[in-house]
Parts: sequence; C-alpha cells; structure tokens
Amino acid sequence: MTISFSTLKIAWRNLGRNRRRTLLSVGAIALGQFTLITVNGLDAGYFESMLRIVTGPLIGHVQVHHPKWREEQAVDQYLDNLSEAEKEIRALPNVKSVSARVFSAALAAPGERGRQPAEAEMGMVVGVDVSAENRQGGILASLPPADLPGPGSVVLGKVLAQRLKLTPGKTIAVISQDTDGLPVSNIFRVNALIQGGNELISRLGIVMALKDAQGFLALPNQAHEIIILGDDYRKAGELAERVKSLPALKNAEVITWKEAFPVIVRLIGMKNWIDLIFLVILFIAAAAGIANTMMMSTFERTREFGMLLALGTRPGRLIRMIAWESVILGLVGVALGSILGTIVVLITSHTGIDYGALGGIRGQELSFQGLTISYVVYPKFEFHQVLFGFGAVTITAVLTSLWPALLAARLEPAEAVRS
Amino acid sequence: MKSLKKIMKVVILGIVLLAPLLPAAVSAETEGAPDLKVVLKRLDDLFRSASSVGSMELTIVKPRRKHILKLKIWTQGEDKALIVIEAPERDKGTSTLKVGKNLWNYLPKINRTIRIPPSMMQSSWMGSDFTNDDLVKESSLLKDFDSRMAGRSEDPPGWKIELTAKPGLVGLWERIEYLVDSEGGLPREARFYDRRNRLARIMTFDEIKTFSGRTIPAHLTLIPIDTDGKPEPDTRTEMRYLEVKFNLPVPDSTFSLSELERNR
Repeated sequence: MTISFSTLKIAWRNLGRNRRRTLLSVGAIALGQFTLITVNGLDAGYFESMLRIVTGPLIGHVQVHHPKWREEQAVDQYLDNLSEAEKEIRALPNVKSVSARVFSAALAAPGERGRQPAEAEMGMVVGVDVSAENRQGGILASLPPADLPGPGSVVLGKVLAQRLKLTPGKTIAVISQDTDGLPVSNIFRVNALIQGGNELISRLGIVMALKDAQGFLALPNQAHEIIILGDDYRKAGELAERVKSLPALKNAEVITWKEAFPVIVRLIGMKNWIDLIFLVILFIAAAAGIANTMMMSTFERTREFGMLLALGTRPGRLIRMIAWESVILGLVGVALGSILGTIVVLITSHTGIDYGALGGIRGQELSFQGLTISYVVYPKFEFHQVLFGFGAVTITAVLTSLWPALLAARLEPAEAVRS
Repeated sequence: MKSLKKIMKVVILGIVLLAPLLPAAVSAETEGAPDLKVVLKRLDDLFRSASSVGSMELTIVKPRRKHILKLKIWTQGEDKALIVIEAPERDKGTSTLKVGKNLWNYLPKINRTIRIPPSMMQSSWMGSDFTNDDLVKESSLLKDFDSRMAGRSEDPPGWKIELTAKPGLVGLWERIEYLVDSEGGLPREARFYDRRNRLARIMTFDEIKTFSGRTIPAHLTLIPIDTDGKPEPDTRTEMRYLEVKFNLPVPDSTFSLSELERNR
C-alpha cells in the first residue's frame, strides 16, 4: 500500500468534521495509554525497590548455610571454619563482598536490677559483620559510626526495645544458648535502636558485632549464614555454582536470592501479568473508542461515499482513507497519553509517591514477607510500555476500521447517493 | 464418695454394654493382667511425694558431643521445685525455680533471675530434650486419659497400656503407650504420640533401685523422635537419680526467689 499524501490529508480533515466526537475518542485512548504508562511505571518502581532490597546486603546474591539451617535454625547447625570459607569465596571472580552472621534465640530483659525479677521477652541474638551491614540496605544501614555495636554493646530492634522499655544508654540482660544448648548470659549496653530493614530484626533483634556474638555463643570461627554479594544479581546462579564447588563449603547448602526469597520471583512474574492486563484494557478502550467513532462517521457519510464512488474513486482508496482516519485517531490519542504519562512518571520518579500518605497512614514503612519496604515509591519509566501502547493502538485502529471501511467500499453508488 | 459411685456406675454400665462386642481373643490376651487403675495410680505416684530432696546426673547426648550436668533437686508436692546445677564448673549455680505454672531461671554470671515467658515454654530446658513445659505441666494418667489394657508386650516383656487423651484435654500428647513390667508395678517404656498422632518421644525406664524405701527406676532415657518417625541420631537425654530422699521436711522458703539467688 503506497501512502498517498492526499488520502492522509483528507483523512485528517474528515476527523475534524465532528471535533467533539473525535476529541472524546482521542481522550479515551489517551487515558488508556496514560494509565498503562503510569500504573506500569509505578509497579516497575515498586518491584525494583523490592528487588533492590532483596538483592541488597540484607539477603545478598548468594547465601550459604548448614544444610538443615533453613528448616530448623538450631544454634548447632553452623558452618565450620569460617575464615577459610570466606577466604576461598573472596578469591572467586566477580565477588564484591562476603559477610557472615550468627543467630541464636534469646531471652532479653532490662539490665537494671529491679526489686522483682524482670519479665523476659523473646529476642534473637544476631551477630553481624558491622562494616558490611553498615552499608545501604544492610541491617545497620544509616547508623552513625558511634552507634555501631562494639565490644559489650548492642543495637536493639525497635519493637523489642519498646517491649522492654529500653532506650539507648540503658543495659540489657541477654540469655541465650550455646551450641550445647546450655545457657549463656551477659549484660550489654544498648547503643541505638534500629528498624533493620527486616521485621525479624525490628521485632527480636539484639544485634552485636560478629566477634562478640561468636564469643557469647561459643561459636569461634563459625557462622550460621554467609552472605555473598556479586557484581550483578542476575548472575547469582553462576556465582552460586562456583561457591558450591569450594572445598571449605563442601557440606554446606548454597542458595541464590531467588531461593532465599522465592516470593520475589513470583511477584516479578505477576508484574508481567499486571502489565498485560493494562495493555488489554488499553486495547479495549482503543477498540471501543475507535470503532464507535468510525462506525458513526461512516454511516453518516453513506451519501458522500456513494458520490465519491460515483465520481470514480476506487474502493481501495476509500478503504485506505477510512483506515487512515482510524489510525490517526488512535495515534493522536496514544501520543497524547504517552506524553502525559511520561511526564507524570518522570516527575514522580524524582519526587516519589508516598503511598502511606495517600492511604492516610503515617508510618514510613510497610512490611512485606518480613522485609521492611518504604511506603514511598519511585516510579520507573519504561520505554517499552510506550511502544507496546503504540503497537496495541495501531493494530486496534486498523482492525476496527476494517468493517466500516469494507462496508463503505462495497456500497452501490446509485443506492448510496439516494439513501 | 458420691463421685466414686458415679464412676463405678459408668464403668459397670460400660462393661455391660461393651462386653459382648469384645472378641474372646482380647480377653484371653489380657488374662492375668494387673488391675489397670492400680497400675495407673502407681505410675502417677511413682515419683510423687509430699516432698523430696535428691541429686541427679543429667546426660545430654547430641550428635557432636555429650554433656553431663549434676543437679540437686528439691520438691514439694507437684507444685514446687528447685533445681540447681552443681557441675560442671561453668554452669554451676544456674538454677530453675518452679512454683505452679511459673518458671524462673537464675543466671549466676549476670546475677539475674528471669521469668520464662509463655512463648519459651516449648524451648529446651538447659539444652536437654526436655522442654520448660515438661517441668511445669502437671498431668495425671489416671485423670487425663482414657486407658485400655492392650495385652502382653514382648519387648520389653510385660503389659501394654494404651492411653488416649480425654476430649477437651489441653496437652501435647494425644496418645501414650505405656509398657509396664509383668507385675504391673514399674514402667519400662513409654511412647508419646503428638496431636497429629505421630510418635514424638520415647522414654525408657531401667536400673531399678530403692531410695528411702521406695523402689523406682533410677535411670530414665528420653529419645526424641524425628518427624520422619525415626529416632534423631545420637540424640537423647538421660536422667539418673544418684540419691533421693522422699517425704522429709523441706521448708517453704526453699521455693522462693530470694532462695533461688542465695549464695550461688
């Protein structure tokens, strides 16, 4: 089909004959495309922030545990010879950082001796690599150096601290079990309270420096969890394979972030469906808008088409004209929607949207599957959504114009003129 | 007295109603069996006394190592108990006080007493296969379970008693199988089934000894069973009574928080 400029021009002018109707159709399509871009942009931003947390220092790209750890989380399910294992992992290519953690269920009570024995609360001793966790996304992120746990001091999860009515500067008595299950106890100074990016930490966390925790729990050179960050989270699988083959970890269980947090994989799969749903909505909006407009304008013009045919216009040109009207209608709408949607997404991707405030919630964070995720979402502009929109609308426009166009092309000129 | 009559009525009624249903084989199997109620009463009362003072060796076996604790135990009725670890040196003085449903642990290292919260009741006591709840709960085989003499048992030889938790009983065990010796006097083995009717632990009783006139199995072994129905490898807790004196006066003050922390 050769593009005839005059056909295009006539088609454009025809659209101007009933401006209000055309604008309504354009508006419907624009709204569809706008929704597609903004909603999918919001989703993309939301999922990306979740992915960033899941593949950040909190969960890492690859995790190593005792094979039974994830099931039972017993203190005596530890990885032996930690320093050797860490050395071997660091020697692997594309490894950015390696850090270890120890965990042990504990009882915690205010350290100040009262007249009555203290009511204990359940807690969890978490020994961490302080410098590794102090990075963005880590358990100790955003803590000033002076507040970091050191010898004899800990950082407490906010909720636990509230339950124990403890504030920074006070002391906490911690009773836990060593690997034999025998009680170990000590009193620590509370340096600061944290959220920890993680519900477990906030609810139960008694976070101490790895060395302190290892000493407290009698786990010298041992750990329950090794967190490995590589250069690229998408290559976690390859990294995991290499870690598995290390001699120091031959009896350990090595998993990627996808296995550590399978929900995220399902969520990402879900995002594709959400994208598709909005694309389908756009299709329907475009189809309804264009079909309606084109049908009406075709039927109105039966006489005119008859006249054109009588004057010798070829039916093919008539079809092209109507098809162009439809495509122009669609493209103008989709372009308008794209421009508006892109502007909104780009602006909000800088300012962020506070979901909590929109829903009247004052809190800063929500918890999802134990992870703390900020209510503030930074939408992400995805160009392919614009292209999908354009594609979808163009196809719909051509398809929905076919019927009226064919009707028009098949008119008997003599009858049509008389109608 | 009135309630006893009532129970007797129910029992007799039960026998009359159920007797024709029982196959002859069962009655033959249980022929010569000791009286069920007497046996259960004896099992219930085996370690019970108005008061007791004893010492015990607790051996905790784990796949990687074995741990032996020496304990001193004071009891008063079912309600009160004080347990103090005397050895090894590292854990010396660590003690547990039970009064009714409450449990306190005293940690000499930090000189603090801490009440065990309800959420920790199912946790291990001192690294053993016993839970805190095992120390606190008071249950009676006779009162809390429906029982049935199931016949002779081969290994160990004796009688097998099946106990099923009465409806409405809040507890961990749905069913207990007790194997008692031929005279029905002493327990040999008990198998505990959880609420999903899965075998969860086995307790064996041996080393029959007499302490201040009372004959008891002095050595009890608790074997936890894994979810796959097999004993956990190299995991058990053994209790061995070294010395027990029953029914000698123990002052009330023994079971107080101040006593818990005293001189340890």
